[in-house]
Amino acid sequence: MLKDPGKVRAVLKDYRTAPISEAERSLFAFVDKVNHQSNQIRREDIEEARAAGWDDEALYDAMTVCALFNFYNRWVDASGVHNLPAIGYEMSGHRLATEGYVRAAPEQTAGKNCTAPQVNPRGRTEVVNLTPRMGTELSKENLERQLGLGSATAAAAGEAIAVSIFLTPAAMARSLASPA
Amino acid sequence: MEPIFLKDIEQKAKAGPKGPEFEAMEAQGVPVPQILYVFAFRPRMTDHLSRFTQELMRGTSPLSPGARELIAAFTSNRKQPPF
Repeated sequence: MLKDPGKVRAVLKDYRTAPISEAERSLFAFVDKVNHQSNQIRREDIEEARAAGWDDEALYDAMTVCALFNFYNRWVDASGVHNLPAIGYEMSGHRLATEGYVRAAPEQTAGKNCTAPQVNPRGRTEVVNLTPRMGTELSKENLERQLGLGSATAAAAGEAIAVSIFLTPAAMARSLASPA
Repeated sequence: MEPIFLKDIEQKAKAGPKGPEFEAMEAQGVPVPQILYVFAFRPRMTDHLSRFTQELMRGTSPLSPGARELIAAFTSNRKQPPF
């Protein structure tokens, strides 16, 4: 389990040497190949990831996330979206953790409790649970109290916040909006 | 912040139905993420993109939302992290 921001940073710096489990390393190796050499993926790459404990559903989700963020990378690169100041990413990360990616208009949320992300945890045990610890403002306890979230949802939101605000390019790509 | 490369897109997004929301953010001192302009320019199209993203990143999955966010960050990490 990843419980601290140091491990998140280590994965982003070099997953091959990061202090993570071999199962997690195998997942990132798979995503790395999807990201940089997708046309060279063979059945053996899938079998290797499956042997590490990942089922097809996990690989499907990992691969789809990678493919979608490749879309966002090119979309923001070509449009010329500029970096936000750090506070902008913190705010985006918080909104993404509490509201998610479909953004309600301000007048619709004024005076209401923030809706929880649509998290539906499965009954199965998580093979990977990446939960970097956060500062007090965005702690699980504060989220739970301020937003009335159940503890499982607050934990998921805390994870999402933690990752969102670390990475400038990814956080930028995640500042999404749409009329509800 | 400097405008995006596609200046017309940013201007049209600001002149569209989301314009007041962008102005309100700026008035509150909240920096507007410029990707919002790229979304706001074609809402009928990007509505689906937002919903797709929401379901992918927060829907039922064997991977936790945090795990999915880390995979996304890993994918988008095209340069040496500042830390």
